[in-house]
Amino acid sequence: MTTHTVEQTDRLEPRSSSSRPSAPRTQPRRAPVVVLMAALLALVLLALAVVAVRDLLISQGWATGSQVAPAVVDGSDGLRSSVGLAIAGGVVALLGLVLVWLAIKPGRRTHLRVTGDADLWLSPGAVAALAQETADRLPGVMSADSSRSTRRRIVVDIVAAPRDAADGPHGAAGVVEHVDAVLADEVGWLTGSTIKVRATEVPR
Amino acid sequence: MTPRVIRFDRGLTLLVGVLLVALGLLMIDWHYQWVLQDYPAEVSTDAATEVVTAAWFPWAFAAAGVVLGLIGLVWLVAHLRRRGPSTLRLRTSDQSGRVQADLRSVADAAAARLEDLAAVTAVTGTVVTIRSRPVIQLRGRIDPVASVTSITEAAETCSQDLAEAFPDGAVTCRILVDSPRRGRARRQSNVRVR
Repeated sequence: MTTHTVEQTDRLEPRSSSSRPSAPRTQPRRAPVVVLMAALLALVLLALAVVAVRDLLISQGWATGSQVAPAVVDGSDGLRSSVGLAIAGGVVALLGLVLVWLAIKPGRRTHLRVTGDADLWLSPGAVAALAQETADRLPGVMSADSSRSTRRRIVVDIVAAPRDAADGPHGAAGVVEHVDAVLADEVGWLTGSTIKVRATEVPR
Repeated sequence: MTPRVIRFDRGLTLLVGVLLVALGLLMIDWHYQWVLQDYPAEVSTDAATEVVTAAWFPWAFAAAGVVLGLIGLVWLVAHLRRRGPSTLRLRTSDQSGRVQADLRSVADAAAARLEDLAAVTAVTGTVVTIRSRPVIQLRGRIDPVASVTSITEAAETCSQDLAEAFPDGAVTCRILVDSPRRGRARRQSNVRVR
């Protein structure tokens, strides 16, 4: 279920005119957590059915055991208010609040929109992989690593080596500046994401 | 899983949540009597006991339980339903005959085309409904050697192809690209001498 995405209506900025019909403006989202909770509630209904049928079988003497429904009613007879019951009430109310929160919580956004006419979306992981590979190909970069990226923030750690270019020597700071500019231009701008470049310098 | 099922999930979960909050607050207020004071000192289930011990009760309880269980089963199974239509009736249909496009085949063909055009692997094509319109959704994994521009161009081509196939705009195309498959992606590139 976690791999499913569902679309929920969300307002996006109007796109540039195109000869094609505009694609529906909805964002890809993961199925909301409420789906899991709803499945649990459905299982509770199924469990209730099992208990009800079992009670019937026992009451007719077709099976042995004790019935649940009369036992529950008997058990709650003479129940008095107490601190313990109030605490249990607090827990129940808290559980109810969690359910209310889950019911209104939207599904997580799974992808970032790519600028352009096509209805194209990249996951943050894909953007991080692209940023890593793009950084890795640039001069002065010994290695690149995007494993510290999160869903919200793309971080590329590079090992930078100072180099001598035609226009003079470039220090590690120059390499980082160059990587930053290229990533912003080739990856960041198109996906609307900010890419942070962190560098470790290799001594000359 | 359709948006309608998710709306139903939300509605019912909200209802159960509100009921639980009300029950919880009632249990707290029964003890502290902050809001209401005329609570009974203890719960009496005499009337309920009379009902539960009646001869007809197990039958009624079982019938109600089975109905609720069936509702639960249908509810569960509804989550497994596919999200989009498999065919689309074309406008050329008339009294003399019906013309339908098999959207699943279109989705498969579009997926194969995208895989050829761009550095995207394991592309699968499905039909989903977004805002009551059928959408061919292509989903694949990125090959990090790709550039965003090349993927954008491939996506443009796929969308254009589909727009030409369905000039009335009945079907559009959405492309989702995920991170590389774990293991195949290098989380850290190798240090090498330039």
